[in-house]
Amino acid sequence: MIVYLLGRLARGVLTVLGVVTIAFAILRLNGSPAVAMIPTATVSQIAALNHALGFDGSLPSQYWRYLGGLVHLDVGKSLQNPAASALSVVFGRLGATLELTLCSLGLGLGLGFLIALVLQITGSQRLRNTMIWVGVTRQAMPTFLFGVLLVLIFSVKLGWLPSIGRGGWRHLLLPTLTLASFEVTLYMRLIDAALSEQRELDYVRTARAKGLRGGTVLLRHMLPNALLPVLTIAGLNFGALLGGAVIVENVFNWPGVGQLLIQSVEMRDYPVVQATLLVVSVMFVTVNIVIDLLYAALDPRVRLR
Amino acid sequence: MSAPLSTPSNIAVASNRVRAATRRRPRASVVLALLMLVVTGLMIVIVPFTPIYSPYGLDLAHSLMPPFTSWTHPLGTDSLGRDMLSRLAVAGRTSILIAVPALLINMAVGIILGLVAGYFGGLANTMIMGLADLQLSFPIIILLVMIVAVVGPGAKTLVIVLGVTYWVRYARLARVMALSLREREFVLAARTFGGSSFWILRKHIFPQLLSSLAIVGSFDLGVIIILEASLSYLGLGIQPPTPSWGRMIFEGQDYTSRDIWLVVLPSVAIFLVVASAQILSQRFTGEREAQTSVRTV
Repeated sequence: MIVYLLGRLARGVLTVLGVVTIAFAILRLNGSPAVAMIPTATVSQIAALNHALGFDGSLPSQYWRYLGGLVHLDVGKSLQNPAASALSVVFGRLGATLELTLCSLGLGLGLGFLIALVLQITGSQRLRNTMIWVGVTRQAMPTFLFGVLLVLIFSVKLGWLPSIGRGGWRHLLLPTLTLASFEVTLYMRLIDAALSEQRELDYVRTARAKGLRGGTVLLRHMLPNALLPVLTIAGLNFGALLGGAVIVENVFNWPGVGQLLIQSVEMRDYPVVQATLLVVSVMFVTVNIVIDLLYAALDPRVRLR
Repeated sequence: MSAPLSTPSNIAVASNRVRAATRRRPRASVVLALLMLVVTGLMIVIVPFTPIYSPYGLDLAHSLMPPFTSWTHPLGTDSLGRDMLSRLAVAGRTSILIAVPALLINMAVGIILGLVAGYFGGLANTMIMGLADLQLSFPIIILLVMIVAVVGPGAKTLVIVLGVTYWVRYARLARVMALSLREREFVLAARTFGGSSFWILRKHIFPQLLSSLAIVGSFDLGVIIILEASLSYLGLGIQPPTPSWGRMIFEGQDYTSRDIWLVVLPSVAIFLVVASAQILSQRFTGEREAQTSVRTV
């Protein structure tokens, strides 16, 4: 168990290392950004900015300093807001993003469950086909497009809900719905497929044979077994969820990390861009480790070695 | 775990009943999908040859005209008086011209990496599949945004960036295929006769991949178009004045209280293309599964 945990942590650290290395390489694709940032800069100004950004010296020494900075959780100061460290700027926005993604995940999972259970209980093939086609239709729309359409309907035409910004639950509703609608489709199909698979197994027949009611079999026997694959996918899907959040935040002017990322990219605030990437990759790795552990805790058949 | 999240292979995991339903589904969906493709295809191809074609001509006197009111501007005009139908057509062409090469790059990269991983195994396999796992689950749009920011937005950047984003599924397909065929008699026979690894991969293993490529490829074409539209919407894709569906929606949002069509028309265009690609992909999946199930039984 301990060995497994250490190995898993090492893999997680490797993942983060891979991501920040890719980021290091990407940022150097086009040489130093200093000239582009201040077109009228003098030679000494460019040298100073290069030094501040870690773009001076040979590539290996740049990389070494870059990693050293990361170990000390120091990716430099925000260029737009030199008083604040880039990491603190990102952390300041993290709450909004977590609020949005967690609500969407909850709503998506919850609705997905409900629909899958209804499909299993009614056993209606027509209903299942309808839901699948609704899902396919939603997935054929880009996330930003779905968000814009929701704004058109609920903000512009009906005037029920605010279209941008963060505030009470009314502000949260449309962006959450935009993200969750994608999640629902995914989880509905996943849970339904998992339950249908379980239904064919011997233990379900045994449970029925000894006289348990359909609802009990479904909820107490089949559901826990069907949940495990859902957990794995939820972990893998966490990345897609964050990616979706980047777009949704920009559609709804939601002051989260995704909006910060796009703004920083436009302003060429590279330290903040790097900090965003670092925070996101650490978050992503942590979630997946937790899910692996949860998996073992929930399913005694899984032995972590 | 192969290809999670809304991929055609989800259907493969689905129950027998769902699968049976996919098979039985009337061909109406395919007809509809083809119709949708033909409509957008005709728009993209024909409009540039018509007299109304003028995607860049400013005409402030006739700005924000609603659709279906004039013969010279059948779908109305935008805030600068540019013809919407022409702009939709150019945007569609741009979108296809980016998505298709990007898809081909993805396929090439994926197939090569997958065949190498599957056929040679060992360290190559571990490294390539590790990279694939990471790419599949990491919020890749964040890296895309970074690349575009550094290199500068534009059509060429988009093709390359989108071209290295969706190779994972092709790599998995090719790897599984190479793994399962590696030990088969005809491959062993080819090796006995002195066939080189490259020759065996190309002549014996690659052809087996083609039907799977059609399924995943048509689905991914839609996904890539979606991603291109999203990046353009964020201002990181196609740059004005060249029109793109994503950017048209962004620009139209400022006028939604006056003219909702500026947003609706490009939305419909995106939906038609992506939905038809995905419906066709599903249809292929259903048919192939029908075939394989017959073959294995």
